[in-house]
Amino acid sequence: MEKLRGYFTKRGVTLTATVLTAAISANSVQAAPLGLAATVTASAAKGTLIPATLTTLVNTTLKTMTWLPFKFALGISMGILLAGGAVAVYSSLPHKVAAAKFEFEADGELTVQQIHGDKILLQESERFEVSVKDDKWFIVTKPHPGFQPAGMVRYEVGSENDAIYQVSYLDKKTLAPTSLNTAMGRIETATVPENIQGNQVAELWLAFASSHYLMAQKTESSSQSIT
Amino acid sequence: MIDSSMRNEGWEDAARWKRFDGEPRLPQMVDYINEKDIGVNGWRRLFIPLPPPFVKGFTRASYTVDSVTNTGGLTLPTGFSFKEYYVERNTQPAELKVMRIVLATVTSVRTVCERTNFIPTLTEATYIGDDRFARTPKPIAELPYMVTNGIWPTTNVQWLKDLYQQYQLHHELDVPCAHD
Repeated sequence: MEKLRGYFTKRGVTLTATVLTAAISANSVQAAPLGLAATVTASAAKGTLIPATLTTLVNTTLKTMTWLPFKFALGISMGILLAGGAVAVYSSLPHKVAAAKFEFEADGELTVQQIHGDKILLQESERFEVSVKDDKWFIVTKPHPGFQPAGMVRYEVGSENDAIYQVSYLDKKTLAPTSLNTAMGRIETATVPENIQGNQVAELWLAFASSHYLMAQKTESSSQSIT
Repeated sequence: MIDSSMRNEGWEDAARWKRFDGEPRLPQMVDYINEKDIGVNGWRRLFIPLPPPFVKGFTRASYTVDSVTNTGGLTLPTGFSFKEYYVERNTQPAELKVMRIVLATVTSVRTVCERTNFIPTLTEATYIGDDRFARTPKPIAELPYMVTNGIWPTTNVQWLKDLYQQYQLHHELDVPCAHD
């Protein structure tokens, strides 16, 4: 718990142990596969209201931490950074529509700022590459060395046939000697990537690869709940 | 653009958007509207009423294209911003504050896609979190395993089926897999 709290503190977020344990307990079902979450959860306080932003933050952290030895995992920020709140938008697969035919590739730069109040807590910069062909897409983000999140050097995510595949390649220099893996991956049945902070894939998907998804929706320029 | 745990809860934000007229009709602007804040009480997620003046909701995030290029018959963004907000409850009245900004600048665009494989290649020993069983009749939120042969397993591979059943058994016994 102290290590976890230290992780957030390093990134400018001060959390009490009670707040952390409550947030962890609320998210430990998903985080359960390895030992850490259950161990922490066993002492978790109940009944504390936690903003969703913090919940997401801890949840994502736990997901990351379950993938690697604890010691190393503290240094990784694959999917999270500061006071992050996921923007929950799309929650199920859209109806398929006749795919429009188009293709393109784009490269560029991203700048990410984490802000609290009037202060910029963190600013990061990274390169991106996007490839789109009809309803298939592939996105690569590469943090600049000076802004490199601890442990991650390259992130790739792509989608085919209503599944999203993603891989984070880890900086081998930061790996613990006992680490068996040098990359972390994920598969899910979905057409829309999660808004996991740290890789900016959701934003890039929205900008370049959301055509078919939006095409499948009934209306635009109007408020609606997307299901 | 969702948080998986929220997705499991069936929670979603409303969105409104406007798309460019030119193909591939990418979004020009998107606003995500949150009608109630979400919190956690122990194991349960709660909707927390928003304070005035946000009782009817607030703009949780906004996406705006700042510049475009028309190339090869396609209208593509060359710059965009994405901002996420939160409701600061410690002020009177409550205020909407920016908590994250993503700014993008496109440096090159090509109207040809040379990529033929849209699934990342597993070139190294990779620890996988497999969420494909999260929506099955007996859902498992995430199956963890290691891939060392460079192949993303299909869901009908026998060892993955076995792993799924093993996790199901733990759930039926109400034993967290973490205690394996």
